[in-house]
Amino acid sequence: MPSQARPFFEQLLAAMMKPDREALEKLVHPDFMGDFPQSGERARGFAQFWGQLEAYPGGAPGDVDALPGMRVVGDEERWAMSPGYSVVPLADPTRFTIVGSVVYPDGVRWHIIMSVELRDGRLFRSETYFGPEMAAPIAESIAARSRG
Amino acid sequence: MAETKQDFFRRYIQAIAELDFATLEQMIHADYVGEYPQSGERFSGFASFRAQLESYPGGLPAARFDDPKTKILGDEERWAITPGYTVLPLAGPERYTTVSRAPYPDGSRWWVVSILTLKDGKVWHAETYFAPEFDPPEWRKGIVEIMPRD
Repeated sequence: MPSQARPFFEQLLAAMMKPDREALEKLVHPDFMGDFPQSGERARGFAQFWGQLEAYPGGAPGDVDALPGMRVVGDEERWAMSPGYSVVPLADPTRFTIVGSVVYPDGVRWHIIMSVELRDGRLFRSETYFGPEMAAPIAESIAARSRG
Repeated sequence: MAETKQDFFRRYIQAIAELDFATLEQMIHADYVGEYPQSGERFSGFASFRAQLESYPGGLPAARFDDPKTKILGDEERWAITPGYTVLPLAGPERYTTVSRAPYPDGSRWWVVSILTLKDGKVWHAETYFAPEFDPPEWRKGIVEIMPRD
């Protein structure tokens, strides 16, 4: 999976944006469970996963390529070297953190961080967090302190 | 026994909550870089790391981060077995995602998600996101379940 993780998530997110039910049914595990911890919501199974995409106000963004600037954390190459100096394959990682951002209809950009787990090559668990862009309070605070 | 990654990051989060700079200085790499992508802020080195914690308006809430929601992702065991059935140590980037919650002085509670990279056993790079709690939107009612909040 490491070499295939990014294409998998690009395909998944593009299918979510359209949304493309047929493609998603192949990518989402039947026992999927997705949490939005900020609101306490949980989508269980494909029907609920699809239901919340279908009900999105104003419809999905449409035919766009995944999330702008999307990064997949956790798919870095990991390897092991045997005492004979041969490189041996590893058990595939199944947990990843996906980072990207979207611009909402009101023009505000939100960062999206998804912690996901794959099983049987499909999306099995997800936890999604949404953080708005904001001013730079820390930098301002430090600058104010240094000014006295 | 060596400290597990779970214990390392719990100690790290706890030290931030308690402003325990003696502990933090041992855990932060000399070449540390921290980023807040939501505001575009970046701070380098321990002095800057410390200053942004100390400068927090009104001081950071004294609450401890013993929240049961705190968790560490990416520390699952990764292993390789040779044809001779020997288990081998791994090499590769050490990246972890921590999830915790922080109470703010105004009484609100925010989720804090950090993607942390270790180097030489210390926190070398941190990318942190802050996400506020919100009420489930009307349009998702009846579609998804609502979990009890704690």
